[in-house]
Amino acid sequence: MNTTLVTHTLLKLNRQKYLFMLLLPGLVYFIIFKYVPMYGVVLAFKEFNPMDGILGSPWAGMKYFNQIFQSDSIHQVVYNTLRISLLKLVFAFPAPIMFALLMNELAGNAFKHAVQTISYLPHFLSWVVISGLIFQLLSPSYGLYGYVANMFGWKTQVLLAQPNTFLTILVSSEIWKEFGYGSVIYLAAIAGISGELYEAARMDGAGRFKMMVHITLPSLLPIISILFILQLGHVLDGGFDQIMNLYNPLVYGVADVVDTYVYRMGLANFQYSFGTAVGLFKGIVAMILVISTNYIVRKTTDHSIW
Amino acid sequence: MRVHKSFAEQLFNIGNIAVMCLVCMTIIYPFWQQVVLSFSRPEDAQLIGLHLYTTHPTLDSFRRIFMGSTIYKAYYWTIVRTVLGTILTVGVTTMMAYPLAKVYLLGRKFWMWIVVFTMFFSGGLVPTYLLVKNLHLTNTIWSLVLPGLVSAWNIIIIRNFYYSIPDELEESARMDGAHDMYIFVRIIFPLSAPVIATVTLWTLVGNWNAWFDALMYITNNKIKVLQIVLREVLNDANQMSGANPSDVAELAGQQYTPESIKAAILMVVILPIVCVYPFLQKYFVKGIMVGAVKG
Repeated sequence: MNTTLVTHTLLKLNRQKYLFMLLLPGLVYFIIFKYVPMYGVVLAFKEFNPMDGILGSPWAGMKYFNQIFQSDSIHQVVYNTLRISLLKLVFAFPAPIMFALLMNELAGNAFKHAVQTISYLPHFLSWVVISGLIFQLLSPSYGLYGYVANMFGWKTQVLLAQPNTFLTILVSSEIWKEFGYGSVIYLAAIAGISGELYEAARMDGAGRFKMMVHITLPSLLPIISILFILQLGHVLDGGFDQIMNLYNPLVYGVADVVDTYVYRMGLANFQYSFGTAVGLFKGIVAMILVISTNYIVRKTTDHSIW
Repeated sequence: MRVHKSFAEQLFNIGNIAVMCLVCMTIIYPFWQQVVLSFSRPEDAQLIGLHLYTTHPTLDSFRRIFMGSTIYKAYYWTIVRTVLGTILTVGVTTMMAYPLAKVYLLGRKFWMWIVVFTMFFSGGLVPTYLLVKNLHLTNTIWSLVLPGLVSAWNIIIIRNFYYSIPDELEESARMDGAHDMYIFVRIIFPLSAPVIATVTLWTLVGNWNAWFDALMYITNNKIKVLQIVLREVLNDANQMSGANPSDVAELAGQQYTPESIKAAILMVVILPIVCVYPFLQKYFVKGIMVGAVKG
């Protein structure tokens, strides 16, 4: 019995040798660059000493986790991350939906196409480039901001150095960069809505605005809810690329998110173990969020990511 | 379309068009301003204004940028990184996705689980950094290419596409004596052109725009990619506007990079993207449909 199973498996393995050859490079990649760093999280429980390496360094127990829960800065950082994510959820999430709805009401095809092409552009550029544009626009001495302020005789200040205006800039630049590209998925969903629905509504005397509110928007609800829930899974991210390129020490108080904090503490200040511990803390919370959001998506919509 | 439009409807149309125009302006203006600044003399660029046009067009800024070797080297390394990274990513991803699309693959669930688990959990920044360092990849081009090579997301997208290829094609090839490797290279790979093009472009743009890995892993300035050069040039402005007062005082005596030079470097970094943009856009839109929500 057992031997036949073994020979059967070996035969199958032999038949599938080419498949395994195709699979191998990818598996090697995943093991080295994804799973070895996962093992590396033991660093969070060690007193890291570069000389001895991760394995040789002595255990530190829960020392770094105690440090996390006792440190004021980590509370601040988690609070900042949640605040930035929620601000983006409230303001940046609806932007592509509104844009897609308005776009759908445009008649001219060439104009529509031009608007689409223009609005996608910022998505393809890095935050390094976008931050360059922002620095220029917001410069009090020669940018657009300085120009307008001058015209009205306002007193200028460095907007990126003010905690409140910094958050506004963060959210509005996020909207500006992604609203066009984000609308693609909604436009596709709108294109899939049956024309009969609109016909029927027109018979009943509905105007364009009524059709938008009573047909287009409800038809988009499933996809809106899926994307919204998926977004919830990322509340601990906050937008690392964007913040790293825009922030400065004056606004650390409101702008430092978990990821930027890990970078500054872990790599820039060489606190490897502490950085790993904060990263692990975030990773576990993020994993719980992703799994539970997927669960919710599956329960509520029949769709799931896996 | 309907023939007569009510007054309110016409008003809405006009309003809508106006809003769209305004939205487009907010995107065009910042870029246009950079174009103008890059062709301006430094002293004109420093003046306050909207910079909608320049009275003294000049190529000086570009000439100054291309005089040194920095920008050529940065271009070289950015292209090397992008080409190498894209070829390897697409190669390994398509290869790996093929067996995973075969229901009869031995241990398929297990291999798939190994891939998918990386979507929920990762070692994080510090362990990854230490790994790259211990492998002695820092300050080599491999530190930019290898760590982010394959993503579970791309594998799932390509695998889903493979599912849509009819089995009959494969079976008939097998009848003729072809083995898996041959089928993959000669049948599956060519048939997957749309999804491969999509993933290729994602990877291409991702590599072109990447900067953080270069910031972390390249410490000796030997390999400087364009984004890092731009970041360094912009950074003195950032420090000026933001850093704590003592830093500003310290920096105040220094000469800052003129606005016209900054604008010119920005142009140089985004030009290749803008050139392939119409092509990119088409495939990205297709790609988001392929990858969107179904799976």
